[in-house]
Amino acid sequence: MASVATPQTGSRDSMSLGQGLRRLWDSYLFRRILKAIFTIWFVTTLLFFLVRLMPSNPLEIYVQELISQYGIPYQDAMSQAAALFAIDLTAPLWKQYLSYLSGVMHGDLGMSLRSPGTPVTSIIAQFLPWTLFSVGTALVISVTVGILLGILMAYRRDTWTDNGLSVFASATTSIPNYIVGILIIVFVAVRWNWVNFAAIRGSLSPGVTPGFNATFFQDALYHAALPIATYVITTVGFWMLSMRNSTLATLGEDYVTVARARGLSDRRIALHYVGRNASLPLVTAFALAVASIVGGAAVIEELFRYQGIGSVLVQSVFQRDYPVMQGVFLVFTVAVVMANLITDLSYGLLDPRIRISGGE
Amino acid sequence: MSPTPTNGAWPQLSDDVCLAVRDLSVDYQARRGTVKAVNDISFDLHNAESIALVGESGCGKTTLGLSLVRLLVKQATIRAGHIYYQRGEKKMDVVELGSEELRQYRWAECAMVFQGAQNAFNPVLRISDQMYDTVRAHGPANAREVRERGIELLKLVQLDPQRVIDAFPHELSGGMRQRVLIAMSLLLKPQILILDEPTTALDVITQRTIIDVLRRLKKELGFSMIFITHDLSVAAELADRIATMYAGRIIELGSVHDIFYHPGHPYSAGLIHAVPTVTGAYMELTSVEGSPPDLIEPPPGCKFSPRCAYAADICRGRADPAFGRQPTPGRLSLHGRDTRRPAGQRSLAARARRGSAQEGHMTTPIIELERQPDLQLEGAARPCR
Ligand SMILES: Nc1ncnc2c1ncn2[C@@H]1O[C@H](COP(=O)(O)OP(=O)(O)O)[C@@H](O)[C@H]1O
Ligand code: SF4
Ligand SMILES: [Mg+2]
Repeated sequence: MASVATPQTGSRDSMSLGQGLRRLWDSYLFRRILKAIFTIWFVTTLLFFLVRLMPSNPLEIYVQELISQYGIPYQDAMSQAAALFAIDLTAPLWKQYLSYLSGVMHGDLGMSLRSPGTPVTSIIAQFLPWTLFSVGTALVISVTVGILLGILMAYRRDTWTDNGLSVFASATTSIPNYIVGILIIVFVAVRWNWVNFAAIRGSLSPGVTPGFNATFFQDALYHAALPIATYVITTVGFWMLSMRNSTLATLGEDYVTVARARGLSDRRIALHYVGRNASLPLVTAFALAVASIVGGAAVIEELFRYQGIGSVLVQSVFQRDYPVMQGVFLVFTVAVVMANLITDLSYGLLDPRIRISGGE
Repeated sequence: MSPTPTNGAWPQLSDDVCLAVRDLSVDYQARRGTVKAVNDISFDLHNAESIALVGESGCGKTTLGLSLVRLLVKQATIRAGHIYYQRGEKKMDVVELGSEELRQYRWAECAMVFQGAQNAFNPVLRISDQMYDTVRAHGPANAREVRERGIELLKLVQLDPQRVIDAFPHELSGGMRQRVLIAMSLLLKPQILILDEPTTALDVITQRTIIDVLRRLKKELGFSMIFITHDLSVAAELADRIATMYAGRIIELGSVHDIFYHPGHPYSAGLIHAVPTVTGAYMELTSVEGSPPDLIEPPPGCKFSPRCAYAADICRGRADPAFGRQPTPGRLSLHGRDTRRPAGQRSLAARARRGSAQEGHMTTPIIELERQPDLQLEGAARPCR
């Protein structure tokens, strides 16, 4: 990085193209972004083919539906379906792939097969914000609560508090998220009747429109509350245990003892000497956490009838709506890759020891 | 047993004493039992005096140092004793301090430079920020003033302030970090500086620099110093008095001259034999034959008896034959013979040592020691009954 600021020899004009490329390649940021783009391309390609390797196809499924639901004869159903679908599923796979790829580059993800005339991008634009909202809120709550409880557990090591919280943390992290979701529905909504399950379906109550007002936020939170609770319960334990162990290791560090010898207050030490250093190793886990929550969103949103991008995915998988599936997968991939990228880059900002090696 | 001052009563201390340790005992709760790491230690530290604490690994030097700033680990307890601290009108028993008073006492009154301080600094904060943190913890702080004082101290420890003050710890070498810590320890002008093996694990040249820096700082700033070391040659250079520790006890405390030329305790004599013969070579003081005693179940009577060439039944038979002396400002041999001197003589001895420690002479103490023939030690190498 320092080399960019102070060119060692000559003026910029005399720098050859080769040198320029070399310098660009030396930039950590550049390499990191290139890697991210490559990852996205690779996963997209893989998914394009995997999706088509799934048994059955959109046409067959639609025809089956028409026949079973309306009793339409096979021939009629076939022609009706063929007229409906905008893309030619009989074209060679490589041709479909190339046209898909060039579409993606232009920001065009194609049209939904099952909702004719609706671009995939507008489906994503409609449903993604709800998922970002619920998953994002859950992540913030989970990380904050987990880190604070983790520090508490470490400071209260081997006490009743620590043991109790440890049991809670290991139990909740080992239960699959859909089980937690079902338990929440069974108890919170059905048994104890704390919320009206029918009323919280969807992302908003009828009549409420998005905008910057309390009614909207309150309603949005109300509808997202159970999915958020599920995400938090299933992930907070991970942050608690990680932070507990990391804090215990940090508490044994010399600089903590020296900080106490220097007469620093317990609060200053806990936050700036212990907490800050202990949370560094957790930064790398952040990308993984995003991936796991995003992955779990499909099941959880479907379970709670929350209308986010996850529920769109589940539906599109059942219908083999290839363009929608691909679009949602692309969004997931970008989310996870971005989380990784941000993690990597912010780590250098948080830990000065990494900054130096980042340049070379 | 020496008389224990009644709780709360301030002992008779002369004005030039800044720290008076009385009957201090520290235990560790270990799985195998209670480790009696510090036992009945008493001594006085005078203003601008420097005491070197020597003894083999595991004899309790670090534990004693840590208890003086009450930074012992959770498993440790101060079983008994008092640590009287005075600075002008300020008088306190460190053992009795509450957490907030203790926090204020640390670093501002008594700073400690730790053993192996390579990780002494928070890796994510700049040196200047950590200096500011330190001052801020003890009262109102002005960032610019703290910075200026920091720069001044960094110059005193022979570092380039411009390069160091805004550096992150990982950008500094081990020896530099050690010196930064010494600089930081003087930030609040403490009266006492405790250094736990500040030169161990550093290369010879860095050791040399640090010793020179410490000697100059002490002369210019006039603080008192408790200096823990394995290395008797370092002790000879920096200390006014040397305390030899064995099995958690100070078994002998005397002027450098006395300890080197007329050691009273066979163990002190053994330590002098164990001074490394190659200049500056690092060497643990294990050359006294035999192994350190078990501090969970110490041997009966004189703790050194299993290793002492002069041990007799009487040494093992009666309880602690070697520890019956009152601490005195002068030479304190806890060992059988009364070697107490009139108070004036300490400073005479110290002056004599300083007199012989003219520039260029004491910088090569090891060679000097090597030249001292063993007959110097003969006087000491005799039983103590
Ligand atoms: N945390 C601890 N738990 C149990 N025993 C300890 C602990 N720390 C030190 N000790 C014991 O206390 C004794 C004195 O240790 P220490 O003060 O570190 O000695 P020194 O600094 O002279 O090498 C040793 O025998 C050591 O084993
Ligand atoms: S002579 Fe006896 S009392 Fe003195 S050190 Fe040896 S064993 Fe201990
Ligand atoms: Mg030690």
